[in-house]
Amino acid sequence: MIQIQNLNKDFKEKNGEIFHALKNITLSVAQGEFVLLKGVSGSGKSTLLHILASQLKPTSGSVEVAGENIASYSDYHASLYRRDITAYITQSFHLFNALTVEENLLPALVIKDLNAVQINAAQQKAMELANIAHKAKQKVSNLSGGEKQRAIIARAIVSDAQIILCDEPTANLDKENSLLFIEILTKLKAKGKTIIIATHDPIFDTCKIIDKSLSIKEGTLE
Amino acid sequence: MRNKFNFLLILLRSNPKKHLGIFILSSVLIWLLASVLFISSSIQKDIFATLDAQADITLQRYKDGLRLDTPQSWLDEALAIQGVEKAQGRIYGIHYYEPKEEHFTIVGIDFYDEQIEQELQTLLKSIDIEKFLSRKNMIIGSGVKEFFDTYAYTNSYTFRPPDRSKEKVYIYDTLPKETNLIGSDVILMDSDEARKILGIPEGYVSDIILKVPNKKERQMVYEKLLISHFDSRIITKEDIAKHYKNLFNYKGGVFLILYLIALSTFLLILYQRYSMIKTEDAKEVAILRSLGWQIKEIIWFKLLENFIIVFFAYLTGVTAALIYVYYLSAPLLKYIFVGYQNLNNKASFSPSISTNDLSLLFILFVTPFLLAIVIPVWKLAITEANEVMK
Repeated sequence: MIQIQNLNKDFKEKNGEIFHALKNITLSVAQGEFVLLKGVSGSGKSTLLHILASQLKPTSGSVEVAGENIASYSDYHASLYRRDITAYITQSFHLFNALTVEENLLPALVIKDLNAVQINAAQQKAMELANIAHKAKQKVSNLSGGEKQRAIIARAIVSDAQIILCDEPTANLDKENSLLFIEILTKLKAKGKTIIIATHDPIFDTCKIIDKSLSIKEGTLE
Repeated sequence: MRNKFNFLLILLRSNPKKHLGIFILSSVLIWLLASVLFISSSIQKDIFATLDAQADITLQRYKDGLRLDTPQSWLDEALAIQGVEKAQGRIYGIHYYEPKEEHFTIVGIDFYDEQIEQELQTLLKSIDIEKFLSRKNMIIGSGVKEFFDTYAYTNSYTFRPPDRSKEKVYIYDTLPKETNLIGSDVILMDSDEARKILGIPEGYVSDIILKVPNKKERQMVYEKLLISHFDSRIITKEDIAKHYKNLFNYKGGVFLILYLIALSTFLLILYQRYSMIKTEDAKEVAILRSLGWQIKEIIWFKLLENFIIVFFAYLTGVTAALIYVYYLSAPLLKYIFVGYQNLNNKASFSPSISTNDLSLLFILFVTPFLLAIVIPVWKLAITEANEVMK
């Protein structure tokens, strides 16, 4: 499913120096695999996820997803890739606060060629899977942190993406909500989704669904 | 496209406060400019309609820069010039009310003159001339009426002619509201009475007006008059039209500059608002980018969002301007345009709405408005998605 070869990512810092965020990363992830990326803050986990989500272009190396090198994608193809292939879940609650939970799912659906019935069905399915259907008509601004995170999950999976990328997803959640989040991920894995989680939350250490646990340190996979 | 539009409406409906400031500011600016357009267009229409009914050439005697009474004998001389169809002497002048430093324009009318100006003819149709002339009466403009009422001259007013006598004249009626634009400070009375009050001796008139129907002959008539009356001022209808045009162009120009300053400030605020990467808009752009929206889709979405706001602001502004100008008679603003008369003017405006002006206003406001938005949104949308998300 995902083949990463000799991936490097450099950033130019304000003082003009080059910061090597990722160094010669080579990684392979099979379809349906659950991969845990562990590492301290600044180790390069998020950069790797951003590249996998086609939100960032690598400096060198190749990133093949389903046989296509996403590193060379134009904005048009990168948009299609983000729309259809990946879902991205972050620790920040990037939601439209004035909209309800179900309305927050719309921006992921209105860019697809769907009719009202299909949109409605997709919303309902995603909200049920994310365990937030009971708050469908609630405004996001009135939700708790755990509920907001589940709304983000619902939006991420509403387009039925094959790859789910999670960047520190439990950083702002308490233990109860973190466990609930893992339960949802378990359901998604059961549906054959490929899941990559970048985290340093120890709650994932005992997680039984993890297929591969990788550690990243100063931009290098260990 | 329809789904995106529905989503946009949901977004606008759910957070009306977000755009309230821009909506109000836009409405106010459009209201201001539309009001100016309506006022100036209405005034120009009225003024030029009035000018059409006026004399083709006016002959006034001048000495050392001061206007003198014109000998009535010049009437026959003028009539002898080829092309002059009609020549008529006018009795009018300024009455100065010293205690309040106000001026009224006294106009004398020969009520039995068949050649009386068309405008006055219409006006005087409703007057019982015999009753009017049975004693010293006058018809006053609404500005004069208000002034007289303020100082308790509700029934009559006593003029003091130059010979220091007293002339008590009764108030017969007030001029209709439609004439306010040019008649607010006017007092109409019998020409003999006006002559007495203004101190114009027999055999003289204030000036002479000529009718020259053929436009091509006017220049020739003008030159002949200039030769025989070199100490005179000869004003053509075109001169008056030019004067009014200049006056309104000047006032409109001043207003346009003020408007442009206000618009530029507003656009600057708008640009800054959309340039700020951490605003609600930046977050929205980031979410849409991460969900797979293309740059062009985001730009169109934001343009459409702001177009809806500015379109409703335009409708609100224009409707408010229509009410303000044609229903409320443009309080405050009208004095910028009609303030050239002697007295406080209660002019009302006759509707004159040009679709060209309205379209121009729409384009002139909406284009820079959307440009001020599209540039920062485009800059934001082309930034790598993860940067925007930070």
